[in-house]
Amino acid sequence: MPETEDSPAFVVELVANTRRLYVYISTLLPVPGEAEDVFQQTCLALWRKRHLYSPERPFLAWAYGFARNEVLRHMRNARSPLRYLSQDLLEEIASREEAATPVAEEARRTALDACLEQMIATQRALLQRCYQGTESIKDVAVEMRISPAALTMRLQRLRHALVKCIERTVAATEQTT
Amino acid sequence: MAGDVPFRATPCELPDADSPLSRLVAVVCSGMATASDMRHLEKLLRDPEAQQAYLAFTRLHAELQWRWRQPADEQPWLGHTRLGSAAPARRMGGFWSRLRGLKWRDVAFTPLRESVRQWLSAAVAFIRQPVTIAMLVSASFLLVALNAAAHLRVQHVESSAAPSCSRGRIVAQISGMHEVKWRYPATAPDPMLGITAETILDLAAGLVELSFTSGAKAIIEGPALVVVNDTTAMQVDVGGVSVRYDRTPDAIDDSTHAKSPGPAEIKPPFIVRTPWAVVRDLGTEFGVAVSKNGPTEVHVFQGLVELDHPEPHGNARRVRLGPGDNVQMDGRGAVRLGVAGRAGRIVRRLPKARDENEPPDWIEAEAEVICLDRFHGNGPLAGATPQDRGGHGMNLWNVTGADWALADGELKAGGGMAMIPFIPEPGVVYRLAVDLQVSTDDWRWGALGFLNDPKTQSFASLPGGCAWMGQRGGHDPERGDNFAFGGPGMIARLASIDDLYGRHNRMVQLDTRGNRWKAKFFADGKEVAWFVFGSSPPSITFVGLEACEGAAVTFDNFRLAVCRPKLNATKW
Repeated sequence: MPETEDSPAFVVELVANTRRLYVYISTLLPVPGEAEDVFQQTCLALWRKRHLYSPERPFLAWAYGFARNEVLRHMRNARSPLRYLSQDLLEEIASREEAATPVAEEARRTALDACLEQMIATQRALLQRCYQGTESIKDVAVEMRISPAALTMRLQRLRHALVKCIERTVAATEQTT
Repeated sequence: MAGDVPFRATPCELPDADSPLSRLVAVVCSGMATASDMRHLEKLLRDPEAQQAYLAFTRLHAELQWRWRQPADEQPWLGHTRLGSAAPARRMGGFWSRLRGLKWRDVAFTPLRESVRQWLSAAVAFIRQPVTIAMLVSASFLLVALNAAAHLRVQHVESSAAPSCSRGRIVAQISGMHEVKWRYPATAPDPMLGITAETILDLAAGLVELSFTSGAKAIIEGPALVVVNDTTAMQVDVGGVSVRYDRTPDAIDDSTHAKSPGPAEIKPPFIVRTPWAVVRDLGTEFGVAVSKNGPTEVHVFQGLVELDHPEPHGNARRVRLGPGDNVQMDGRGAVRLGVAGRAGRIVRRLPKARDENEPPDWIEAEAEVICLDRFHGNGPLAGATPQDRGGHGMNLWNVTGADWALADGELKAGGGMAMIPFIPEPGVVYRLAVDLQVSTDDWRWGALGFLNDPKTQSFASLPGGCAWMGQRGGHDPERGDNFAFGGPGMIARLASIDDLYGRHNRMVQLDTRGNRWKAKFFADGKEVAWFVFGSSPPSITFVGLEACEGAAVTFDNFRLAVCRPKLNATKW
């Protein structure tokens, strides 16, 4: 298939699935900052191979293959602590993540919006501040006059509460539908 | 495609927030994981349930990164919002900029390049039209004016919201501490400095009293993780907090409040936020207990509070609680009313600091023994059981339950009470002690203390014992560890005082000096709790022992003594 004909469909799919692709990579590479590079490498790899893409195929399944390869490549080369995880385990986790349906993902995302809304403003602000990545956990902890470990656990408690809220909200939505 | 599969939520069994898996997720997501952490994680993730939980956390982490994270290769031409909604656009900006850096032979980009060139030619031809130039100039002026107005508005808002000093606004002061251990001493708040808004207090043990600038007082009982949000708000992630807030009630629909407050007297409510509930204090005293793995509890000591909590289907529900009400909520939003739990036993007052110049309560050399029995046969019971002997001297034993026996120089009981009539005189100090052992390995208990009602004949009944303490057979996560009661009724119950099991000496000291009587409780000679009675002295008429029904309790070295030291009355 000539390149000039397949590119628009590819771009449309890429743009439509950017978020899911990023979330997939970041789920496998939760260490802050690591997902960014791998995400961009994946996009480039997809762009280079776009002539292989057929609109009849599910784009995301095709893109996940690229992303998975980039993640594994990153883990082999980088100084990431994730290199201590075995490839088998990572592939198992990746397969689990790929099995998630878009509908379920969308439900979770909607639930996350609702749960963030319900959150106490100061908790949400702390979460947002730490996730922006413009300050290190250590810097934020020093400013808050607590240890980085305390802040880390505090963030985890917030994540814990959010995950529980998401599950509860999704289950409630499922019941009503 | 996977999207064809019908939607089905797959909730997973989340580990506790403080479980090893949760801790490892926390360090990984914060970029602080070590090789050892990762090896531990690898082991844990061999379990499919752990994998599912791990994915739930990292998926959320990924979503939050997508929403908020600012990529390192941020593009200056893209907008910046404080809500971080531009983060995804920046991320793609990074991708497109990388794409531009590639050589054309690497990326066959000809069609797009041609399209852009044609579009630019058409745009230049359009812009050259005089009408277009005039429109563009007008629009530019308008944009500059709007931008300036917005800028001025933002400056005004930010300057009014700016704190008065760089340390932040002081909202509270540490007004007392008792046996405090901070989890991270290096970052513990300095009691000499004020507590600023959003300060986190991570308390490993002990009590901290905070006095807010609003007039509220809170006692935090460690272990606890608490955030001081503002002058009238705090957040309890874990631990126990009691709050006293003398607030003139506003909009309280309670006819018992005869006085109608003027507008100047109304203060905002004090708010305690827990992970899934918000407690609004309408002028009262209440306790909140948030356990790491268990439920959140709210107990009202006085006045009224409002409680907002989510219901299982996601809506918020508001309930109003009155004096003595107790509510327990679990993480799923289920609510149980009237469950007496930890919140009702939260410490409400700091123990009084001992003044070095103050004379001691007790001088052993001056003490006079009223009753001593080591149960070897040569004491007041003369080798008989309380029910057989029926008393000693002028004092007859009152006995309930027939399960009393003497063996091996000890008094054994399997349920019931043995009491000696006793009316304390004012102005002295009494000490009632016994070596106590409960051989069962559960919540059952043995106890000693002072009793105020001969008809009740039980420390635990309402109204029951005044100044009594007990020891359980073993740890009980629901009822707490060992306990002490000051006055009668559950409200007088002090927090779990220790986790000593086996054989220990327990002692209750009743100090009748001064206008307000005081009780102190000792375990193996160490003071573990105290209580101050109201302005009217309790009507104590007995001292004695009790074995909980079903327990196998052994008592030894029963001793009641009095000290009449020439001491100054303790001020309370």
